[in-house]
Amino acid sequence: MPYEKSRFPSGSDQLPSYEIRIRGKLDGRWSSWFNNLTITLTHTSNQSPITILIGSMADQAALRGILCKLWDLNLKLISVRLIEVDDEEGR
Amino acid sequence: MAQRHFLTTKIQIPPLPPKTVQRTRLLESLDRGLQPNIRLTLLSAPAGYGKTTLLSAWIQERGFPAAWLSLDEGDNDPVRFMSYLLAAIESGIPTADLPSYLGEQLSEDEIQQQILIPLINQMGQSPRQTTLVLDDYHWIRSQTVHDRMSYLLDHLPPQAHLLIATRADPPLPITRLRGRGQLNELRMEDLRFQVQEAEAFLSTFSDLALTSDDVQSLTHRTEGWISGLQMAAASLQGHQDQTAFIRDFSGSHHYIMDYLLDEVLRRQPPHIQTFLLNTSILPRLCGSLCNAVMEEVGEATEPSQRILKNLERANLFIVPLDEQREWYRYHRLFADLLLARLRLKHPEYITALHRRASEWCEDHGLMDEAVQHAILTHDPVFAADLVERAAQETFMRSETMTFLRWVQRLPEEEIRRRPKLGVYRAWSLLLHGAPLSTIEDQLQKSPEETYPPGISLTLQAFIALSRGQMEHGLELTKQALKSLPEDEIYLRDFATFCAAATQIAMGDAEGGVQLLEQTSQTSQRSGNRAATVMILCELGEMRLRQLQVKEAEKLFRQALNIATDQGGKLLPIAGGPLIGLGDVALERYDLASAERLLQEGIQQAERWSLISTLNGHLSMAMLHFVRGDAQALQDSLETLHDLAQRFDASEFDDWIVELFEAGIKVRYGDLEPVRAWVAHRDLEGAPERIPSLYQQDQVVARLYKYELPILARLHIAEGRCEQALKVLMELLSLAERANRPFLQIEAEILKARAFHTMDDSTSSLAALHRALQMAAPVDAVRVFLTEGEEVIQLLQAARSVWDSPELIDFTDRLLGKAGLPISMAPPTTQDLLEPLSPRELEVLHLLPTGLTAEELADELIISVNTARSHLKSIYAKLGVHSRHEAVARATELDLL
Repeated sequence: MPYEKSRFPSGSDQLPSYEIRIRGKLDGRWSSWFNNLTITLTHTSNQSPITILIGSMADQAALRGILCKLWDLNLKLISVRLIEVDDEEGR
Repeated sequence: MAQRHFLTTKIQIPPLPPKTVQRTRLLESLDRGLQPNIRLTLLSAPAGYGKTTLLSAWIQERGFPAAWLSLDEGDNDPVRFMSYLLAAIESGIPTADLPSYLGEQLSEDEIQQQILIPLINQMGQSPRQTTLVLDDYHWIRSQTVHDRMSYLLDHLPPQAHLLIATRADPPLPITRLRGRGQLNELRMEDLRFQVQEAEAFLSTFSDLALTSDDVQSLTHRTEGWISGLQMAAASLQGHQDQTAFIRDFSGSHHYIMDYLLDEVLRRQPPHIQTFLLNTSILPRLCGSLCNAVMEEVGEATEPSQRILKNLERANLFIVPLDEQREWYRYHRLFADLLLARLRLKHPEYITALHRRASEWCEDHGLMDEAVQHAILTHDPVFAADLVERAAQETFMRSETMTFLRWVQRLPEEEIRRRPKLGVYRAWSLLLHGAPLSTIEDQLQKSPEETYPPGISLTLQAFIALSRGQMEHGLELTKQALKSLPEDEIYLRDFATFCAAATQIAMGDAEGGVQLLEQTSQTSQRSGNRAATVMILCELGEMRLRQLQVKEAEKLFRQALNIATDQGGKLLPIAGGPLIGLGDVALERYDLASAERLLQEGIQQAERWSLISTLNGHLSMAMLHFVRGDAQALQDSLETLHDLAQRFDASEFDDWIVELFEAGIKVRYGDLEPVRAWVAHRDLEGAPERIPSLYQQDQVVARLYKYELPILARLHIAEGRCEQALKVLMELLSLAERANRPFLQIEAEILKARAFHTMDDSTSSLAALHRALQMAAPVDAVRVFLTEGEEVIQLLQAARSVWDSPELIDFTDRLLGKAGLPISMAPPTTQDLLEPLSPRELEVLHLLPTGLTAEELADELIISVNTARSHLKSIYAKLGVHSRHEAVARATELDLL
């Protein structure tokens, strides 16, 4: 029913984080466009640039939305990876 | 009348831009799709590879008729998708004689039988080839739509060709088609510009003097992506050192569009840059709207309409939306980039821009767009002000679902500060089945002293009345009407409506009707469509209860007219009259029309008020019962219980559903639950002992007379006929007092059954005679036909006894109707190569009446064109050329 109001659980700390890599250089100013994902740059072994978007997603639909935006901007996707909490804590 | 409002731009072949690049190799690739073994041509590539332009050019170049449908998000609604698909084919392929579809909810089986198969047959019979293009198929996520397309794909005749353009591969059986060599595929690799094409493109779109090396590096850097090249060309315009630009661009690893947008913007004079950035918040642009949005941002050095035209001329990613060049939109990619830039450069502007856009849209009556912009200002006060201002108008158009959608995007604190908004929200929640506790909770949260007088009283009155607290509710409506300001038109009319309906419920029919008739006139004058339609429906239902079927029909039709806006679109409140007309059709035992009307009525009513669908579902359940469709009946009963349970403001609806179910069960001979119901309702021993409940409450006592026939049926089934007759005597006197002729007829029919069981055939005949005498003049057929086989036998046996020709005629009509197929199976007796569709049969049955096409259309509630196309199809299938011949041939075939 439309009167249910809760949308996302608040407190982004429990939300899953993803790392998305795309080919080419994307400016940090695109961050707000991609739901405030953090944008960093790196490059492959043969020096072609790679952009990395990292951040938490409310759910799979949010991830899908980001991927669609990349697709619509004709950006080339390299990889998508779920960042396990354990990864970050370095266990 | 009930035709949907079509966006014709969706089914037009998009006009080609004045200049395009000739892509011969791709046109030839598309031609391959015309080979008879190819079932599907798939164009799959991201945005900006020229898919739409290529298809449009191909159709124009080859010059054959083609149907085109540009899909969007809304087409995930299978009903809408089907309507547009048929409209596209109808307009694209002029000779097509298509199955008609009025947007009714059909099962997938029926969609196949009634629409897809006739459509496929039609294409198969056509001597010419049929080309159907579906553009932007990536919007479709609905599995139902995919399934229908797969079905179509599997059964396409060789002369029909399907082309799908999409940004992502669709979940259709692509791999299978590819494996069998039935797929013609054009993918990104094929669609990207080759160097020669890029060269042609750049020289067509710009007066740039580029060396072939330049072109080669541009093509290489953009990888033949057309949007990228277009952007590059725009950046190069007026650039001093083109070769240097191309060198820098080629060496840059920046995202192409990002890099180029900077260049494009830098090329523009400052006022155009400002214009582009600031108008990027608009999904659609026109001169006047841009002027309003740009106000204060930049001095108006140039009128916006001219800027828009110049942008179009300069190929700056702007698309005209109409022939008059009034409305435009930016290329989506371009708008996205501009908006990202605006957010970065001037985030502080965005609120003000949306605010002005919202104000302009409100002034121009584009309320939904106004609210969208208002919400994007992130200024809750501004947005709430707008929604509050729009509340009354929106309710008068019965668009309560839209209102709920708006108000739910406002922050709770803001709604709480605005009692009026709170009441309207509570109201729409109530209409859509929210629990009463939620609603009372919300009402209490608003500070009482700030209530505008009378506003919450109206809602409280409605709740009290729903709960059956009639005196209290009536008192509240009177207080509300005393204190409501004059300009609260919607609430005033609604309060009056409640008062009148209550008066009627309490037995003062005359006073109530008078009040309703008065109010319907004032509400119509003040444009309160919702109230007018509600009143006309209430009056119509009263007429129906009194078996004045024609008068009821007239009122419902009048109401349906008022519930249709200028564009021919149905307002949600149209659900009421459609369900009413469905009841009229059911009363006449015209089951096909009844089903169609009820389905559409329920669908509309859901947008206005969930609880208002209850009547529609009751009638639908009755329809399933008379057709003997046990599964559908069971589903309907579940829906009814669910609805009644959800609407917890009143128990009345629960009782009505229980009553209805008991009536069905007793007819099926499933007596145990009926006995339980009798005990539960304290009906044991009636009529000598009046149930305790009814001694206290005269309104609830209204139900009593509807319960008695069920009690009588139970007694007859148990062989307690003496007791049944006592019940029926009581029923007769109650029905007469309340002016419910159909209950009187029902009582006489049941008496005939009881006497028959007692072997008293004289009394049985006499009762049947009285029933027929009352029923014949008003043509009340349903009440006989829902009584079961025994009554049909009684009618057959009694036919020879009657002396009046009217009674014999009427009895024959009843027996004729009783012979109608009671199952859902379509008639199979037709001796035709291609059987008539159920809809065509309906039209056929009206042919002997000599109605004109207009009258036929009116009778079946379809458009005149649809009626004509049915006639055409009937003639074709019967192999005749006139109505006279059609009737003769149909009679020969036993179709009439």
